Amino acid sequence: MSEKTFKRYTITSALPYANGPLHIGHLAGCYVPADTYARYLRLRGRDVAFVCGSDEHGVAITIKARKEGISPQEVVDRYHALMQESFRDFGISFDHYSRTSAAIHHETASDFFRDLYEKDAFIERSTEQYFDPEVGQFLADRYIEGTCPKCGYAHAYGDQCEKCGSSLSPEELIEPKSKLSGSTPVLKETKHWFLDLANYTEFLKDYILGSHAHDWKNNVLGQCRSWLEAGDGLQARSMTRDMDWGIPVPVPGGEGKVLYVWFDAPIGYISATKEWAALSGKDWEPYWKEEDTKLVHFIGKDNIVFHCIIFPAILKTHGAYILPDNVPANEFLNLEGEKISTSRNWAVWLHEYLADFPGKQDVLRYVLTANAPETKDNDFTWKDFQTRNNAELVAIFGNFVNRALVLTDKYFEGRVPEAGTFGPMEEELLAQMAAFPEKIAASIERYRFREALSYVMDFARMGNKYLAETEPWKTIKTDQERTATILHVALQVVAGLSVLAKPFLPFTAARSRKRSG
Amino acid sequence: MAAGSPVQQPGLLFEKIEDKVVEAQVQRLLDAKKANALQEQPAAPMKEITSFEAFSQMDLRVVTVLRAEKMLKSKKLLKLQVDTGLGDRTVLSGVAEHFSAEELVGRQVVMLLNLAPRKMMGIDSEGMILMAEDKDGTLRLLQPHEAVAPGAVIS
Ligand SMILES: [Zn+2]
Repeated sequence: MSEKTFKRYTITSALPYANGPLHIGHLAGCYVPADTYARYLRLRGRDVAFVCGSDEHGVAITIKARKEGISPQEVVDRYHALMQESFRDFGISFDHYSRTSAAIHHETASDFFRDLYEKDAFIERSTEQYFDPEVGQFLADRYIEGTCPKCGYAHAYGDQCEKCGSSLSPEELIEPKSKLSGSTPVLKETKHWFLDLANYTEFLKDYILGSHAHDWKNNVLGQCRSWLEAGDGLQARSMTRDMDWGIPVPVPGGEGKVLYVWFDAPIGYISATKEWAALSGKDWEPYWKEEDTKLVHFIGKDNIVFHCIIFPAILKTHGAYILPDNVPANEFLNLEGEKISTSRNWAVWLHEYLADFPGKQDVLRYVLTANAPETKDNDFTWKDFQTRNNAELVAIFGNFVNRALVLTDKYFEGRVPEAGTFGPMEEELLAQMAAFPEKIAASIERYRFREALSYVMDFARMGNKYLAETEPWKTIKTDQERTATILHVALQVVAGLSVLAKPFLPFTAARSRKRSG
Repeated sequence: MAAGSPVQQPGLLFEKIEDKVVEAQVQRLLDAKKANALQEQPAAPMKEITSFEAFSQMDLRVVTVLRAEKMLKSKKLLKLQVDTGLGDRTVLSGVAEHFSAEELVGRQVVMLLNLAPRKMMGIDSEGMILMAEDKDGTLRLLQPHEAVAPGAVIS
């Protein structure tokens, strides 16, 4: 399957949730790798649709709105604008950045739900759920607070205790209270539409553990396997919620209910593609429906189940869509040894980074790729950031390029000198150089961005070593022709380096181009 | 790159990042951690139950600060001249590390009027200014939300 050749690429990054600004964990998880991949493919002349958008539904947004005394729409408007600006500032080259509150998305997601409903894909099931009798509203897990049965913490949420980290269900809480009114919630019957994932077990095993056993990342396969091979199997999951913020359930009996945010969010990629195609006069359908399209979802590990299990089940049921060819999920990035936390302000915020390090977007992109949590959780430390900048970008990359240019400026009036006869050193260097583009491409195509970037740096190191060994600042005193050959070759390395580094360091590449004008 | 074509102007592609720059970033995180720890600290426990009679013996007033000056030999004390509505009084207050003398002049603050006078650094302090102490130890003034006549009784 991975040997297949593709005519076009649909690349997505996880829709960021519009209830806070972006931090380095987001960037490292799925935006920098996806952008590097998209830039690489475009450089190779491939047909790419790189789409994303703000995820604007879900209960966390309504909670935030309540807390700040504003409407959910005001919350998402604020963070949609802020996130879009951060992506632009860091050169994340989406072809289109949309949002799930857009009309086109409501329509696309509703159509999907109706299509599955008509195919009898859902089980309608009545369950008992906590209801706030004072406010007259069903309560999402996050709207219920009580004492944790595991550790006794008094402010545990209905789905999780933040103190001890236990996953909970609202019924387990001791003395549950509604966060809306403070009253004691009562259990009340409500109807929801469930997708019975157990029906998809064989299809998913085939699709993931069969077809993609060798081209998907181990961390992704591992999680999928644990879901697919769990003793009690895949469970039915409710695709609707009792809430008023979101996409209304478009079937009889759906009044007062909305689509589950993880039903509609991945469909957001399709909506964004439709919007992009409409704006650029293209046809969106081949990007989602043709077998020769490669569909790749870049996400963080917490989204694996939604992209590898639930979304493929939805696409498969619909029937007209292709399935993801790969879901290269990253693990988590920690910060100075601790989990990044928005609420505890343990984060490096992108807008703050840019204020403190203006013009240094590439330094952060470089560090986040060189230290990417591709196979396991990794740690971002400021010391490592400094070391990678000073010892790698400055001392190797920058130093080599600058030396070659300064010497050319000094000895040959800033023009590429004519080469004389190549000696064994030049022959060897040029032969080595020739192998790099394919080597780097192969790593990128296997989503090994750290490895690819380390090869780019090896390329720069080769140039540095060549100048150190040939010493053109000495040969200039005795042998003008030899010096011309050395700098001619060194400048070929500079040119090669600027092409190879382009997907990783787009700002540096743009700056070099400007200078050469 | 063909021979004869001009190359780009040299210039630094990347700049060295100094120690103090990354240290400042680490400090910001440590500050966030400290703020979190303070946030989680519970408020001081309640004192023993008291009686209304005991409370009514405290003569609490709003007073206006007329003058304030630093004490020459003390890091902590400010010497305040306040208008109590019953005449001006001198009060020594241990707030010099939190407020400058200029910041206090003209403000209305809360004072315990009938505290027994006490001699500090050779001066009689005739009462006590009340403050709120935040979790991190910073002091905040208590002020009426609109100006009142000096000497207004708090009860
Ligand atoms: Zn707990």
